[in-house]
Formats: sequence, C-alpha cells, structure tokens
Amino acid sequence: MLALIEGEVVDKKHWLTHAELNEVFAIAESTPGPIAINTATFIGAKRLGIFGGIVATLGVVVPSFAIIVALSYIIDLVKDNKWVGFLFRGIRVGVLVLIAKAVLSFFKNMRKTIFSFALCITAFILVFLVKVDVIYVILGTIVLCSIIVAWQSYYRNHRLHMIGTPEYYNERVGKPLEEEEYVSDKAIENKLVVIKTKEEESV
Amino acid sequence: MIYLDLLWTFFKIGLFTIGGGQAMIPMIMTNVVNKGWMEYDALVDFIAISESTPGPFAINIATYSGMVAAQGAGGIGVIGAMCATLGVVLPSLIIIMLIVKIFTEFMKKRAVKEVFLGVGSTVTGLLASVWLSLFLTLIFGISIANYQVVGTFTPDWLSLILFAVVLPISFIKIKGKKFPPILIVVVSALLGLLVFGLCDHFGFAI
Repeated sequence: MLALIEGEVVDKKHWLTHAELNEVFAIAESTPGPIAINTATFIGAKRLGIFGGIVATLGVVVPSFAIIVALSYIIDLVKDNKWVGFLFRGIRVGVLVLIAKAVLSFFKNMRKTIFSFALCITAFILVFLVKVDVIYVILGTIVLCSIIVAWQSYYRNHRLHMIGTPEYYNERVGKPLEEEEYVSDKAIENKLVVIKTKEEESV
Repeated sequence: MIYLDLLWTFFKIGLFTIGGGQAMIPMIMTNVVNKGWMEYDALVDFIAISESTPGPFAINIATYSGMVAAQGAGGIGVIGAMCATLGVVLPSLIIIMLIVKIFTEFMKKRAVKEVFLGVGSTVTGLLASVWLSLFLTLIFGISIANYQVVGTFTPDWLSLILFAVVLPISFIKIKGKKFPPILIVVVSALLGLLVFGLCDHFGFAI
C-alpha cells in the first residue's frame, strides 16, 4: 500500500517530494488510526485543507467498502456448503499464522527494556486472565507512559540546570557560560565534548 | 440504536489503534464478540478475508462487522456498515486534520514518540493474548473465563499439524520481500481443503 502511494503521489502527480512523504509516513505511523487512512488524510489535508482531507479519505475507503459489502452477500450464500467449511477450517489456521507473525513483528519493533517487557507481560495477563477491556489497557499505558515521560523530562531539566551553572563551568574551563549556552541540552553536550577534547589535547 | 452503538464502538477502536491495523485485532475480538454482534468463528474467518482483500485491513473489518451486526439486530446491513466504517475513520480524520493545521511540530517531539513506543509494547502483549486464546479455542476447543478453563478438551491434531506446516512456509522470502498475507491465507485454505476433504472422503473422523 505504502509503495503504491509513493508511486502515485511522488512520481506521477508530484504532490510531495520523497522527503516530505517519508515525514508523512512517520507521522501517520505514530498517530492513532489505520496508517493508510492517516496517510491519505494527511496528504489530502496538506494539499487542499479540510475538504481535501475528507475527499482523500473517502477515496481510500470507498473501494474497500464496496468490495466488502459485495463479499458479505457472497459469504452468506456459500457459508453452509461442506467444502467451503473445509476451506474455512484451513483459513482459520492461516489466521493463527497471521496473528503469530503480527506478534513477532510488534515484538521486533518493541524496545527491549525491562519496562517494555513489564508493560507487555502486564497487558497479556490483564487481557488473557483478568479479561479487562482492551481499550482501558491501552488508555492506561498512554497515561502511565505520559507520566513517566513528564517526570523524566523534569528530572533531565533539573540535572541540566545543575550542570549548566556558571560555577560548574568555572571549575571546568575557567570561564562562565554565555546565557544562551545553557538553554538547550544540545549546547551543553557540545560544550562537554569540547572540554573532553581539550583535556585530551593537554594530556 | 444499533447504528449509534456501532458508530461509537468503532470510533473508540479507531481512536486506540496505534501502530497499524493489526493493533486493532485485540479490540475487535473483544468488542464485537462480547456485544454478540458476530460469532467468534465467523470473526476469525473474516480476519483472514480482510487480510487478503484489497484496501486497508481496518476498513474491511469495520465494514463487515457493521454489516453483520446491523443485519443481526434486524436493521439494514449497508447502513450498519457505513456507521462502523465512519466510526473507524473519524478519529484519524479529526486527529490528522489537527496535526496538519496545528501540531506538526508536536508529533516530532521525543515525548510523543516515547509514549507510542510504550503503547507498542502493550499491543505486543495484547496480540499475544489474542493469539493464545485463538490457539486454545481452535486447536483444543477450550477457553479461559473467570480464571478457569471452560469447554471440553477436544484436540484438533489436523489443524495443529497444518499450523506447524504453514508457519515455516510463511517465513520464506520471495525475491527478498516478505511472504504476503494473502498467500498465507490461500496456502492454508488450499491445504485445509485438501487435508479435511481427503479425511472426509475416506471417512476419518475430523
């Protein structure tokens, strides 16, 4: 699907450049909702505003909608056939394989930290044994992660402030920091690298 | 009102689908079956169909669930399908519009990525749970409810063997590309037809 979008949008219609499209994919992947829909809406909205977004989404939805509606009538017709029954017993095994592969691909993309594994196992137990509604589990994860990220960034800023104090720098290089230099942590990191290389040179 | 119920349920599902259509499977499984809209077996069959028809997986499955649910409740199938599809699309539509207009920079923040990585770990666990439930139900005929095993233990060895055969096949790479989902469905359907059909023909109990 994504390769098709690339061919149409970038190569044929020249609506976006490759770099822009990659950015759109990155955002579509990390927003709620199906990736294909997100991408279509994003490109439409970028080109033509709200109306464009709605039209692009309609465009991607209507074909599948029509196919599935037609298909559901066919399924109704054939579902009591003995041979179709055998076919579907095979297909169920296929679904088992499909979901197993989905688990593997999500596991591959997972960050391998103790916290991630804890989240994963907790979610498994909550849904498999306790039968908590899946939506609450995801909502809980979002809340928990937001709290942790907020706390982390507070902690980082605090530490940054301590490293960035003029006294600290006086000790290291003998001259106070310019005010702008301890605004971002990038600046501090760069400074620290400079200090390290200077120390190495002097040795 | 079945239509409003469909709209709202699929709106929630669309809102919490993070990381691609397959992240929807756990939510669909629990919501659609618990509400009595579709039987477990029919839903499992339809997951395979959604994966092997053109178009986004999320749309396919929402359309079909809406159709079946509305028909089951005595309504008009197509309207139910529209409500469910609209429900699953609306969150994306609203959120993406907001991002395009206001939050393009917000989405690039490290904090947002961290939260979504966390949700990715949770979804791994959710999918694993769905897989295990499905495995137990399909192969052994049992499930877990109220911390107890429910159902009689009726192992389906043929399906288990089929699974053991199809799983390695699905890891074959074709011209350096991943084995497409539609081929997994086709291969397992044909093998199922062959194996179960032969057993039926020669009068083995299956």
